[in-house]
Amino acid sequence: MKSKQPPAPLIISISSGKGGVGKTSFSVNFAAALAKLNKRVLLIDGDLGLANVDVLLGLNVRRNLQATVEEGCDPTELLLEVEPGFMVLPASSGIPEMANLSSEEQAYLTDALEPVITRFDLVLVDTAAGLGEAVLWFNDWAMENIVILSPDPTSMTDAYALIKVLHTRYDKKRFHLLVNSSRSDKEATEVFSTMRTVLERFLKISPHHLGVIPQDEVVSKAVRRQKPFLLTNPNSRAGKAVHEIAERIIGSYFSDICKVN
Amino acid sequence: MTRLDLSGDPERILLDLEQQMQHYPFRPLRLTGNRNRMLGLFLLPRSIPLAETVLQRSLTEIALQLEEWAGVEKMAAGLPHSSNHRACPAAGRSAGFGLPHLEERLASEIERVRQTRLPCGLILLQIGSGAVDPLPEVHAQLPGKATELIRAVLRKSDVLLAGHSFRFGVILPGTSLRETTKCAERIRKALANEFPSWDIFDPAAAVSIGLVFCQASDRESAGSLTAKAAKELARAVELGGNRICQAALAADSICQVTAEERAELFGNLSNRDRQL
Repeated sequence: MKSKQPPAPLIISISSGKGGVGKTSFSVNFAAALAKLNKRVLLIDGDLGLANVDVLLGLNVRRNLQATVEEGCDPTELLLEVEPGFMVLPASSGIPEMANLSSEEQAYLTDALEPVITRFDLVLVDTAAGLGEAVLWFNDWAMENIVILSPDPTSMTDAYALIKVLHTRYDKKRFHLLVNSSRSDKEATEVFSTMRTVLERFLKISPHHLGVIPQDEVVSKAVRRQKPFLLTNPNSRAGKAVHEIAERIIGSYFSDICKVN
Repeated sequence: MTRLDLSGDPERILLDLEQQMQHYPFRPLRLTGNRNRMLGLFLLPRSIPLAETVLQRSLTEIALQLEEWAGVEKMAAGLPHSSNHRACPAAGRSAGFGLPHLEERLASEIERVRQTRLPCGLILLQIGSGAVDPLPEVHAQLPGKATELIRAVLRKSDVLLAGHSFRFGVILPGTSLRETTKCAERIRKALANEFPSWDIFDPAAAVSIGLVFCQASDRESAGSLTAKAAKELARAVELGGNRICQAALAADSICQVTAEERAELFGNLSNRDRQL
C-alpha cells in the first residue's frame, strides 16, 4: 500500500531582538513540553556563532552545523536525542565565520535541513539575538514567529525593532508575543498591551498574545543544573506556563494551522 | 592641446589624456589591470576606415594577445562619447546598464509600486567577467541559451531584458526581498550548471548577480536603482565564484525605530511604572 505523505512540519522561530531575555531557556523547555505531548520535536540552535542550546541541556557535542556548512555533512548525523521525541541540532560556539554566513551558505544550510525536518511534527529555531542576517533568514524561513520580550524597556524596544524589520523587509504579519520574567499578570498584560498598541498604530499589525512566563527561581536553577525546568520542576509556575503554551500551539496548529489572531 | 603634467600619478596622467582625446580625432580605449587599475590607453585614429564589427574583432584579438602580459586582466573601453560607444559597446553601459528599455520599464514598475504598495525586485546579472566584448564567435549561440534558462525560472509576469556580453536584467513585479533573493538564487543555479567558467579572461567568474529591491516608501528613481544594482553586480564580479550581491536597502532607514514609536513605547511604560 502506498504510504501517506507526511504533513509538513510546523517551523517556529524563537527570537527576541535583545539578548538575555530567555530565548534559549524558553526554547529548550518549550521543546520538552511539546515532546511530552507526544509530538516529534526538533530544536535547531540558530545562534550559529554563539550556540548554547547544548549548554542548557548538558549535551556533549562533538560535531555541529559547522560540519554541514563547511564539509557538507548530512545534518541527520548531527542530531542528538534529549528525550524521546525531542532532538537537537547543535551549532558552533566561538566561530565568527558561522555567525556571518553568506546568503549562499545560508541557502545551502536551509536546503540541507529540508530533508531532515520532514521527520518531525514541529521544528523550533532558537535564533541569535540582534538583527543579523541569520536571524532574519531563520525568521523568514519559519512559518510562525515567536518574539519573546521582558518588561524591560530595552527588551520591548528591541522586540519592536525586530518585528518592524521582519514586517518591512519580509512582509511578515503574524507574530506571537511571549512575555517572559513577568513579576505579575498585570505587568505582563501592560507589556503586551503597550506592544500591541504601538504595533497596531505604526505597523498596522495585530500581534497574538502567546502567553506569560512568570518570574520563577526554578528557571535560573535549571540553567545552572543544565536541565530543562519542565522536566525537573514540571509543576512550578514557569513549568505550568510553558506547558500551557505548548498545548495552545498544538491545539491551534493541529486543529487550524493558521487560525491565530 | 593642453599641456599634460607628467610629474604626477601615472593613472591621473592617463585619465587627463583620455579626457583630452574627446577634442581630438582619436578614440581612447582603456587598458585596465587588476582592480580596474588603468595601465594604458589605445589611441585609435577615428579616420581608420574599418567597419565597427571589424574594429571590435580586432580589439578582441589585441586583448587576447595581451593576456600574456602580466598584470593585464581585461581591456575596457574609454569615455562614452558617441564614436567610442559604437566601437566598444561597454562604454555606453552606464545608462540603463546597456539594456535597451530597462530604465523605462523599471520607471513604470516603480510607479506601480507606489500606487499598489506592492514591492518589486531588480536583478542584473552577467555570465563571465564581461571582458570579452564582443563574444568570440564560438560562443555565438550562448546568449540565446542563457535567455532560455533564465526565462525558465521566471514567472510570466517577470520582465527579462537581454543586452550585450551576457548581461541580463530581470524586473520582478510584486515581489518581496526574500522572493527576489530566491529568484536570483534559482537563476544562479540554472546558469552556473550550464555555463562553466568559459571566460578566458576571468576563469573565476561564472555567474555574477547584483540585486536591489524597491518598495513604496522608497524615493529611488529608475536610474539610481539601476546604478545600485550595477554596482552590486560589479562587486559580485570582483568577488568571483558565482556571487550574489545585494544592495543595502534604501528602506533600511524606515526600519529604524522612530522617535514617535519610542515615545509611544516609553510613554506607556512610564504610565505603567507609575501605576506599579
